[in-house]
Amino acid sequence: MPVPTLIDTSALVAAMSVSETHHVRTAEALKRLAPDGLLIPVNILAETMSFARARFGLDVQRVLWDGLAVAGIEIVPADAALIARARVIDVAYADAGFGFADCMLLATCEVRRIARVLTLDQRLAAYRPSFSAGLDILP
Amino acid sequence: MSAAERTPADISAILGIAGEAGPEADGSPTDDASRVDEILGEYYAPGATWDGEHACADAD
Repeated sequence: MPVPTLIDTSALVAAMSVSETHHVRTAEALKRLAPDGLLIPVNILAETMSFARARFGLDVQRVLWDGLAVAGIEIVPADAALIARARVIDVAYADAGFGFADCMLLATCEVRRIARVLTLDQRLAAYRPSFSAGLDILP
Repeated sequence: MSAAERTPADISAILGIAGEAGPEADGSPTDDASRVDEILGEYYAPGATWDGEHACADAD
């Protein structure tokens, strides 16, 4: 049974920029994982788009924008329930200091019951999903 | 259609679209992926790039 993967900002940034230390392994991971389904929470997408603008400029943001339209990545919307669930995670893991973006990613893990996350942020490994023994942190 | 049932059209459309290998002065790779918050913070800081691009720096 295919196991889909949630994408974090750090992984997408590394995959999009050839300058990055972890470019090759994150890009290869995306290619390898794509057939089983890739998802990105809309707030993570917004953060990545803002980063593209800030670091590389509007032209690169637009290339990413067009690329996402054909990349086959499912964009997971946010609603009040997801935001509330993220806040519950934030309270439960206050010491980890995840912050809004990470908690939204983790809340999406819960709602979609997806334990596989493509990220360079090893702090996320501290999270224990309600439906799994732990997160499968890639690459 | 679930995510698992989807067939990604062209994931390569978002791979390697920015940057140049060895952009730093010493030719070493960057690690922006671990500095996203910092880079966004610098960009949106009062009086910084975003303000300049949107002509906010001298706004009353």
